[in-house]
Amino acid sequence: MKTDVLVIGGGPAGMSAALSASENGSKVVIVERDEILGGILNQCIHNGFGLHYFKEELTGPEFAHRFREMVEADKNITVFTSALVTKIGEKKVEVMGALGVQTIEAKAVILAMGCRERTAGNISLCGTRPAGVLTAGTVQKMVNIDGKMVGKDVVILGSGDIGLIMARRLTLEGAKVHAVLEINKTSSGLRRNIMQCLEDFNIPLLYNTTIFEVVGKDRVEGVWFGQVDENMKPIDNTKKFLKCDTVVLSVGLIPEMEMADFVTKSRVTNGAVVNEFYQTDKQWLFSCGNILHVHDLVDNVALEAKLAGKFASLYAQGKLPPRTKKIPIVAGEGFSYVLPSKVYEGAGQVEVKFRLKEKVVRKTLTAKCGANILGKRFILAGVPGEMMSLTFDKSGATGRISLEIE
Amino acid sequence: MDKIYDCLIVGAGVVGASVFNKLTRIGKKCAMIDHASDVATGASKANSGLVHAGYDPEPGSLKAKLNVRGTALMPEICQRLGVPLKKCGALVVGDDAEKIANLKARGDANGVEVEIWDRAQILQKVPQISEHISVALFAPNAYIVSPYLFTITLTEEAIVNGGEVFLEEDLISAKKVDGFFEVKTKKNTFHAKTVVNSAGAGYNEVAKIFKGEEHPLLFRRGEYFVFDKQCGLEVPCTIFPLPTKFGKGVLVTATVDGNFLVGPTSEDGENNTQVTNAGLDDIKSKAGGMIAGINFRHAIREFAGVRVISGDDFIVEKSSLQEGLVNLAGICSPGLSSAPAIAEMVLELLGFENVEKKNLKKIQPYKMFKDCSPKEQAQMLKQDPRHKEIVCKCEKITKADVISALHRPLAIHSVDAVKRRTNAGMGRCQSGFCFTKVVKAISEECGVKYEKVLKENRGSEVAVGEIREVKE
Amino acid sequence: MAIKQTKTTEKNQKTQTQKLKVEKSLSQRKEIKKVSAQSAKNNVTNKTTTQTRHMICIMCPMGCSLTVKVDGENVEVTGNGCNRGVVFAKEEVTCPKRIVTTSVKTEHGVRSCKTTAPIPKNLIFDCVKEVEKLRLKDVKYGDIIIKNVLGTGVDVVVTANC
Repeated sequence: MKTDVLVIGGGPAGMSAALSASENGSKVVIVERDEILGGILNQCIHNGFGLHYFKEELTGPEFAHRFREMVEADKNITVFTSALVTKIGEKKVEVMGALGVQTIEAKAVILAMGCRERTAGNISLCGTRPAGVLTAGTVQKMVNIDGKMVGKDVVILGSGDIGLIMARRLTLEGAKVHAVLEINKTSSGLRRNIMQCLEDFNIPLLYNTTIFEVVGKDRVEGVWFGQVDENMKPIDNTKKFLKCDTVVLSVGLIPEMEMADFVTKSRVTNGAVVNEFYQTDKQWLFSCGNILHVHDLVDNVALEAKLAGKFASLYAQGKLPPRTKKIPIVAGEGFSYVLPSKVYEGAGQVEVKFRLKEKVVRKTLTAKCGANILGKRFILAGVPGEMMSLTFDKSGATGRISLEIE
Repeated sequence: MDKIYDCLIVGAGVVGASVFNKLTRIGKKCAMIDHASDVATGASKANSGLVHAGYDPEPGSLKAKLNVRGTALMPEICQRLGVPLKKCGALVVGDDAEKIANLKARGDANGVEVEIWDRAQILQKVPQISEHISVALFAPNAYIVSPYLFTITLTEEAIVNGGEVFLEEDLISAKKVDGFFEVKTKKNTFHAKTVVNSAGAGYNEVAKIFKGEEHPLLFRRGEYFVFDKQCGLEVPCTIFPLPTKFGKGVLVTATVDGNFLVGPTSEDGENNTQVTNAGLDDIKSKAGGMIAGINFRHAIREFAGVRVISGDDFIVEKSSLQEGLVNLAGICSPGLSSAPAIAEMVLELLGFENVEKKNLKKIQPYKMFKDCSPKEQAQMLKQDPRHKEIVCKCEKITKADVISALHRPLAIHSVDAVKRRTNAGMGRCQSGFCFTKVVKAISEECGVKYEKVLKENRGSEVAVGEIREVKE
Repeated sequence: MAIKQTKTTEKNQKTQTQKLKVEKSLSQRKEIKKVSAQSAKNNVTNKTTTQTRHMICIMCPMGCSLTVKVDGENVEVTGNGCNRGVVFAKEEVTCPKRIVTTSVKTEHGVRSCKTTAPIPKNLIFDCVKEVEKLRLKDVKYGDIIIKNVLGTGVDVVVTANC
């Protein structure tokens, strides 16, 4: 099989990238490993999606539904569900599943496989390994898709957004959520979720606190939990026992990059290093969405994927602007990363995305090339949990561009 | 008495299964029982998965004899069963040439092929070796194997040759009636001429019921890290530090599936399999002393197993208190390596001749779709279209793979049992993607309600009910 | 629309008694009780004593710590960085509203659904209960499964086909 643009992953990033690639004149194939398009959105039945993209508040399945309908209506896009990419090679991928075992050749390939949850193993959760220790995403799938109740007495480890959402969901379904434990001094979850999912239901959120040990042979019987010191080491005399039958983990997300391990990756985002075209260091391979860097809003995923899809489409047709001098973009002090990390010399606007290391209040963020200010933006406040962006004109840049807080 | 077994094996670990397998192969009517929902759920599922060369045990000991003999039998048995066994060799590394020489002498005494390597030779084999390692002992005849797949397939081969397995059995009582054992469990009554106690950690409880010898048992917990297949480690052979009195120390090894194991710790105490901060920190510091640059961020799982120790050597004996009872106690490391030889020894103790039946049936090996040739795959897709459905994305396991694992000679119905047979859920997402898919497959195929599907043993149901049913 | 409602949802009397039950079950959930006492019965705030509440503004990442004094109809907000904080705090103490999302049981499994607009916060549990009563045959994206839930003027609609 051959196509112009092959998109791996049919979640919001994959669908948006495919639509955009098609809009820009390419034949597109989407390969999705699950049975339907939509990715993780299908199980995110809560609201809060679409405010930027559709200008209305939607639930995850509705957001997915709208994209799915657009994809299905697009004659230039062929979708293969229940198809798993097993290997990515130079301008071709190997798949298994509904398509049988075969190779699909493409002029450009877009990585849109999203991210996976960190597991008990990733965080070296101590104690036993009984039934009832589940990641928030698995709980979400079991409750929202399969209609099953995972437990009655729940402790949530980590205050990531899915953990907060599931605290509310399980409470509404009749479980007692005893506490959300966060090892850090702040939560990575959105403030709105802390309020509407925890405070509304009087669920305590304990900072600098973690599970020391899971107890239970066959089923979770409880947890020993307590505070940690500044090195995240348990403080023994704060140890307390909490009886529960379920431990839900919401302890972070990892971009699913292993299959494309041959490209240069960022040590901060764990995603690929990309240029302004969302192109990795393999020119035919593009990346967008949560596999590139973990987003907090699906709207931003869709918008980013739209760009990646467009550029991949242009590349497939040999229309991507010729490469000029490469100019690196670097994150200055106070930024944890900036993306894309390089642009090409010449005229045009570039939007960069970044996260801050710490909360800043009333600051101007600037993109500079030497003393030359290419773009700036005043922000009332910014927090690490919120991805931000800055658009600037790159035409004035002759060398290294850096992002600064002033 | 409806049926009298020649032998009832109590405890379905690798040792019990080896005995069970061997006895059925010589034509004995056998049953094997266990309280768990699968075989190999104790020490046999949680160890290093190594078939040791045999240089380490004290010369003249039962451990030495059975290890060397067991390891020699392993390649043939694994080939017969179709269980992957990989000869990778073992490298004992250190900076003390004298100690290495002593170990070599031990290997020589045990009749094991060993050679001493200098740093240059070590580096050639293991480029990531730590700086201070200057000398090593290399034993080429060491292997890696999946200890649970080995146990499972041994059991299944015995079943197709007439053996019977009863799982989820709770032993209540045993007595001699007319010279036979009458063994009662909560579900069944068994009659047997002989009984083998291979209950591992539960040895003494079983011994009590059968009025056999109890032995002082020590539970030695060993914690491990499991690493992602793509973790940057290049470990072509199993790497040990010089052994101490607590055992072989923290080792680094590949698994037959392509992951890496780092461990175990060695902590005496209760019979529990918890993982601790102290244990994991201990592994980190010790492994770092052998291999440079292990990145523990690539760990995908931690686990602990309990080795049951009774004195310095294995106990493989005829009971002097209870005729017809064979005691297998304290089968710690190298238990997996020794298991085939222990089976032979049990045969001898029971007075059976080691002559295998003619026309024994072969067991169909476990082979996942992804591991088949394109030609085989095409055939499989035609035979079972469920090979087109993906269950586990990390390990590339199809729904048909899972379903065929459920319908093997040994019936199973737990998520972990499926995991041990197919690897679904073993990968880097640790079943985040496949958990509910496996649960659904078990539910459909075994006629169990979704929420009643077990993770491992009874009491480990994956859910508590449907939403809306569960209310205070 | 192929909806088979095994129990009707428009029984006002029943809703009333159920509401009492829910209030009771929420007795430990002090926060909600406090708020619902203020916001119940359509913004009628007839408190005579002054109450002070602390909350963190969610209108922007700044996260201002707000202090809200409620004295009858008089609401005074301090600690806000901008006017949006005042609007936020006033709504939170007078009539906090939330969109409710849950799932409904059908013959083909559960389907996700939501209220088409925010409803008073103190009705969240009641609303979920109303959806819980339903056992539907089949539903599709966009189907209204409850019209005017609990008299709020807001409908409950299905948000997914599978």
